[in-house]
Amino acid sequence: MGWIMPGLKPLLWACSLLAILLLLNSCGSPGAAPVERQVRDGQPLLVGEAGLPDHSPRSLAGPPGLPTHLRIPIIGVDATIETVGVTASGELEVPARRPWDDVGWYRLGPRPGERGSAVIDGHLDRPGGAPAVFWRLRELQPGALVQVLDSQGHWWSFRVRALAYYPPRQAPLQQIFADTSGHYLNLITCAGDWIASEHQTQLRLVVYTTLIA
Amino acid sequence: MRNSSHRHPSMGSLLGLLAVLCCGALAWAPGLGFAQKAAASPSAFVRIMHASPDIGVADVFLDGRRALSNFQFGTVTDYLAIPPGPHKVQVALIGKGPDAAVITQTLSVEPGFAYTVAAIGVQATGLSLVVFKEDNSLAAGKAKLRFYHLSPESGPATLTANGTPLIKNLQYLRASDYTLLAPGRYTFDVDLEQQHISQQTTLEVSVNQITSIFSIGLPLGTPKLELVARQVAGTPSLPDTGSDPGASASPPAQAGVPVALPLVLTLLLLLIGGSTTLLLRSRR
Repeated sequence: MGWIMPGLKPLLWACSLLAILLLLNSCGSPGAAPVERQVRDGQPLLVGEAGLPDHSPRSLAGPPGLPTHLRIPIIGVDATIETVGVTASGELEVPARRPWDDVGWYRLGPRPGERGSAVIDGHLDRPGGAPAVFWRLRELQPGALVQVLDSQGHWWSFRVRALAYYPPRQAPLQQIFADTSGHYLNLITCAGDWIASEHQTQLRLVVYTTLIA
Repeated sequence: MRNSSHRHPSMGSLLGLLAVLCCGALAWAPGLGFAQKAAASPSAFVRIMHASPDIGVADVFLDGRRALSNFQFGTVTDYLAIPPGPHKVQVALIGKGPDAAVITQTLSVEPGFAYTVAAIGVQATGLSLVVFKEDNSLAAGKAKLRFYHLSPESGPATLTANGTPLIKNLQYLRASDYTLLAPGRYTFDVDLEQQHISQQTTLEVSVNQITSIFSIGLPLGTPKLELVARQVAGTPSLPDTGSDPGASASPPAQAGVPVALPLVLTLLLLLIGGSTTLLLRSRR
């Protein structure tokens, strides 16, 4: 390396190091995110929070129809909404028709736009690790826009209030599914490392949003 | 030398730009975005029941502020979201204000949990609040039921469903464990064996639903013994939305950033870096 000018060596080394880091990242576990390491003693980790006013349903629009489409512009989500219920073991179902590309609205809860906590889930990744519909959900920041189209052609707009990571058995289910203090839409996907023995990821990510219009 | 000295800043700028591109790619790559963190707490959820025969229509104050008004015997509120931690709860006759409270207690609630807080008792033995921590998670395909014995001066209570004992000898101020039922229509009887008194109600219990049955009132007085029922939807567990990264690959990704893109970008950057060094060496 003596043929390289001395002033350029550090830059080349830095460049190579960064490139190697990038290479490692692209080959790593798709579910891993650095913030998740901060979960301690089963306590939920909340990442960011924005105080947002709750809005009553629009009087002109009337009650919302069935949700049909989800759009999250900042992370490129543009997905068809399927309806989901619960599995035989009591878990929220996941979309079945197009499991990696569609999202699932929990039909036993309120509709997006109604008072209460509407819930939509979606896959993080596909078998083999390629991204699925909610791959980039963790990139959302408080204030980001989330929109739902209903069967009557109305768009219901929500803003992200907070992101939280939970071990699945320690999630605040009442908060996620049954908070009736406002008009909420909560988005759920997986997060953390894959645990082969349990055939599931270590954590769940919940994105809390509040109706704005 | 003049040409060479002229080239040095140019190559430095090129490599600097390369480093900036690398940093940009790292920041953009999924999974390495640095989310902003801030302190936050989920709410606690509390519903309040008026089960004291000796408290008339009341106001309920939470930390000195009126949370409920015109609160009548036999009423159960919906779950209210409140900040977790300790709260001063006061119950006063309607319009009298918190300074005239007949019950003042500090209760502590945990984030994310649901509670039933009942105002109970009679003047002779004291008025107070009792707290029950709830589990509103659903039992798939079943109805869940919990029985609360809040009838003073009555001894233990037994709850039967369609004539079959469901919960036996529950003591006053206790709540039963959750019991699973097949969905359907039931006639529930509460029997106060020591008083030889019973009361009944008929309910439809649905799949995935949580039913609470409160026995309140006096077996030998007014307000008389009655059963109050409340039903809420059960909450499911969180879904499994991850996939085995070691499984055989599925069709190409169409959502989000393709996983191969950072890899391609890395190889491109390495190619540019290699070309630069070769160029430097050839011109030396």
